[in-house]
Amino acid sequence: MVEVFKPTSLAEALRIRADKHAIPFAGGTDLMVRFRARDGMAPSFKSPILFVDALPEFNTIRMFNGGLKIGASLPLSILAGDRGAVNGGTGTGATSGVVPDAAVLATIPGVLKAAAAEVGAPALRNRATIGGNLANASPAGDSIAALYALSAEIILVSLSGERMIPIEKFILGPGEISLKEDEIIHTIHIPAPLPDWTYWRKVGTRRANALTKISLAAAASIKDGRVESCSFAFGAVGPRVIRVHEIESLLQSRFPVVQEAKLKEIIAEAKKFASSMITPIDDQRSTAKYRKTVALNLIGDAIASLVEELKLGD
Amino acid sequence: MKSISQSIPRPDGMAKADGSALYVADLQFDGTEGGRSPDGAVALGSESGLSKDMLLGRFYRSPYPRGKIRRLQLPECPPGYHIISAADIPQGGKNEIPMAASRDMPCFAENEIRYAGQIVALVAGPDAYEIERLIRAIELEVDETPVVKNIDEALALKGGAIHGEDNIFCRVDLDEGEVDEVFAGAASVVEGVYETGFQEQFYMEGQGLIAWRTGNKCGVRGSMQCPYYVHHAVSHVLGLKHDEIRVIADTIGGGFGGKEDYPEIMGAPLAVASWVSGKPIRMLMDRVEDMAFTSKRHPSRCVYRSALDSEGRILAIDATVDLDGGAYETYTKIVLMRAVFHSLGVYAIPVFRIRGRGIATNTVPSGAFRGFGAPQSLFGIEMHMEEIARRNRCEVLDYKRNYFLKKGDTTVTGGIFRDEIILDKLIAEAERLSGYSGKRIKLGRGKGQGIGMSFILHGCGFTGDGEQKIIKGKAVLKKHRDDKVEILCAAVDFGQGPQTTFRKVVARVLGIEPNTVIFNYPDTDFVPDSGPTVASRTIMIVGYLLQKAAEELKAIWVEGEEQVVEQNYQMPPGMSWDQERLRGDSYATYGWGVNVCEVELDFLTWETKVIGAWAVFDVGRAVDHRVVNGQIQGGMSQALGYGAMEKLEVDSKGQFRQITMADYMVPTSVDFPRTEALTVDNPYLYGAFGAKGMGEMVHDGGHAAFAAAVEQACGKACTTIPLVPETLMEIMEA
Ligand SMILES: Cc1cc2nc3c(=O)[nH]c(=O)nc-3n(C[C@H](O)[C@H](O)[C@H](O)COP(=O)(O)OP(=O)(O)OC[C@H]3O[C@@H](n4cnc5c(N)ncnc54)[C@H](O)[C@@H]3O)c2cc1C
Repeated sequence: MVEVFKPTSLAEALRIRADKHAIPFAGGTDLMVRFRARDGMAPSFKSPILFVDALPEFNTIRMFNGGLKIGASLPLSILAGDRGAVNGGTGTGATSGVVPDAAVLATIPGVLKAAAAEVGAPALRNRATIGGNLANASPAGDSIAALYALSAEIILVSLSGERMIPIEKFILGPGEISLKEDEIIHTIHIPAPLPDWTYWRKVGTRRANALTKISLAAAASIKDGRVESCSFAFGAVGPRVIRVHEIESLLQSRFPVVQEAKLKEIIAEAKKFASSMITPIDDQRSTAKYRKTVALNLIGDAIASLVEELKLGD
Repeated sequence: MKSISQSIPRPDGMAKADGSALYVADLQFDGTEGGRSPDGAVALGSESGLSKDMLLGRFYRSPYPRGKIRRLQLPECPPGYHIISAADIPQGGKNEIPMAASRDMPCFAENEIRYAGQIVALVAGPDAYEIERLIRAIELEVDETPVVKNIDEALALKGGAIHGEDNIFCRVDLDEGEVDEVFAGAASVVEGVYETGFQEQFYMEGQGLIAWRTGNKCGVRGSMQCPYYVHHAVSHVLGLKHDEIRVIADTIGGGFGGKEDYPEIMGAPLAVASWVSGKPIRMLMDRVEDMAFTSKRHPSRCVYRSALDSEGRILAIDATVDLDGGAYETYTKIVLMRAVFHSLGVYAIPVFRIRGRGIATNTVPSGAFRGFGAPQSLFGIEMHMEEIARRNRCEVLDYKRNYFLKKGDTTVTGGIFRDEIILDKLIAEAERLSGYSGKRIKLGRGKGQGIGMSFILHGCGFTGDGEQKIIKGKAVLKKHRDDKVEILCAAVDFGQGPQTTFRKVVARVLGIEPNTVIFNYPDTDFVPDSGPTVASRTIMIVGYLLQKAAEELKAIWVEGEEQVVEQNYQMPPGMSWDQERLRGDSYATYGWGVNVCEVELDFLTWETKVIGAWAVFDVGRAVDHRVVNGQIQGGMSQALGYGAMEKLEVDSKGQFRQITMADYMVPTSVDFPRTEALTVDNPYLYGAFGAKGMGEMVHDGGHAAFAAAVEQACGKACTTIPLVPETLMEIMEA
């Protein structure tokens, strides 16, 4: 039988993690699928289990220096703003924790909220956590693409202290993360300034409980009608989420643009940059050709939406 | 008096909703030696298969797709474990699953392997981990032959023939008039190729059975649509007499045809294992095994050629209907018959030649699925009519109307449409609900929006004289001494409603309350063979037998006395069928329907969104509106899933690629809107209170309406389903 730990304090959790190299278990919506077993058999976990869903500080979301700090076990239903999302409920499971402040919830960037809202279905989102989505490191992980667009930083803790690492360095490959054997994800930090404009589009295999075939997460800070900074991140088109920095510098240097002709030119250029970086595959959910074509189409859609936003700001 | 159509609460509804209904996975031995549980619904004693030390069973399936078996090496079995294979089939039994006319599928693979996943052995024992170890220790050696993955490779005889000399399991041919002559004189010819894919039934409860042995009697119980099919299969494989077998249907969590043939394929080897070991064995399939290895809908390719005169009128149709039958014939012949008999849809075509073929490949044997061949060929004819109308620059509805069948017309097999055909009324209602014609014109073509309308007919009950010659359905009503009336028949409620409708039929005749009628799940020790729960026959055929039985009982009713009445199926007067020549009345009557679907197409992603779905059916008479509406809602979702989402491909070994819930895209409740549905009464003389079969026809046309709508939205022909975005991108970029 597999050993199971359910600590109620971080210190205890870190000790167990260090001593037993127990695998962190938040909502279990990835783990229970990964280790599923047949009728009559227990899930095939290879190491002890460390439940991190009940740690109170893992279930918080708060403002921090104009940015946001999100606890690793915060259920996606909270980020999604699901009606009836449970928080501070039973005190067990991923849905435990402090009731977040409505004012804080209102600051959640649209791209993260929308991405969370398109994960699975309502029941799943009550269990599934942002830390679990992140640590699972799937190129199709929806909150991951959003966190790339928001230049999130990941705060990891262990008995020997805390370190902060940008998401692009944290995720190494499919299912691979920069996490030491004694570390746990503690917080996801979205640094200030929170964006003025965001874009999210998930192309899934259906309308709910659907895995992502391709996604685009984008965000921009706008000042005086100009793009001060922006980010474009594509999900499920390569082994990792891909952020196309060339598009970002292109948009920063060229905006504001109003003429249609000019806009077309910029979109064409942006597509050219993305085209060389996007290397999707054929699999049982979609084709490489489809993923690539749609990814490029979405760039046009996103830039057009950004231009609309700039016009509104005029 | 209230109309029989007025709904009552479903008697089985609450137990299914609150979780108290017992499915085969839930059954536990209650400590008794025998008999039925107090409510009679399920028997929980040892006599009915349950015991404290019931074993778990699992199949060892071939990892190879095709080839001669060179060696099968079974490991040493620890005490209490059993490994059963072809060698264990008892004397007098046969290593073949008897299905319809075919006997080609073995119970356990013995000489050759024809598909990856074929059942080779069964391992049973108390502990799942030990079973797993034993399965891994089985060694199978196969001289591999190249794999045939689809119809084209089969016809090219890749790796030599799998079946016979030409890979054709069966043919169904129909001819009327001088086709070649008409084509030679035609002003123009329109040709189209229409293809449909595999489809998974996706019942909520996976396959599950228990087999046991008491003395010289073998029992099987669990999730199944056709207790007497399982009964027959077990008797054939074990060589037992009919009274030496007992089959019990438990509460069943959905079937859609998927529990028509598979419980035989699974139940026969399980019964052998239990018979040989003497132990009760339960086998439950998990979702992945279920999706990977149980029967799917036959993929199809239909080629239609129409000869037109100078006015664009159809003079003749020359069509081929090819079905991918998979590795063994199983039910392919009768699926093919239905596909061919429905291949001209609701249209009267004077001259035609139809060539149907059931083709052998190295995929999982294709099997029964709601519609049973009709959804395939109806897609072909409907999309072909769209194409012809387009060529003629004519509104498709106007064009189709010219060919609508009428009462008294001849069927494709030379039979007669004896009953009133009310397509015009159905269309009027569909127009009223959906605004089809107005939208069709307003939405333009290739502008990202579209609306489609499709027509279907569905032959109710078994094809040809199957009801008379093969099934010979019998139903019994028993009045107990306390004057409670009990229904005794083999029909199973797997969600489609007989628990409700049968009670209503009997109660209405006898003037009693439906909820006082006893109707247990069938147990072959107690109920007669009223036939399988398939082919849209249940309310029309078995329901009618019960109505007649109730009328008879009413006439002889004596209070306080036990009374039994029996009714046997009789072909309606005037019907005739020649099975050799496939001539005559292929069905006793037909259900009719109109499906309408409106879509939006996203030009960035080629995703389709169904924004409206409407359906109007002639079901004879609805015996319960809620039950009928439930069928329409579910059937439409299943048909739209088939048309839009449910991609199921095979890999280089002929194995399915989409075998998890994450990869196989069955629609969820948010994928499609609710269907606005209506039925128009057109009572059938030989159906219960006028009811015709309707469980399947609700899956016959939604996909064609969807594809027609998508054609309008994208401005291109859409002849292959499912129309997933990847396919639409290819169509639009071509
Ligand atoms: C039906 C269904 C639908 C789904 N749909 C989507 C979807 O649309 N989009 C999507 O992106 N995902 C989807 N998923 C995947 C999954 O639900 C998400 O990835 C979810 O966010 C995982 O969170 P969890 O808390 O359940 O993770 P868990 O299963 O508990 O853990 C996942 C991984 O994270 C690690 N982990 C968890 N917490 C920590 C921590 N604090 N520190 C270090 N490591 C940690 C675990 O060890 C494990 O490796 C779906 C899953 C299912 C079953």
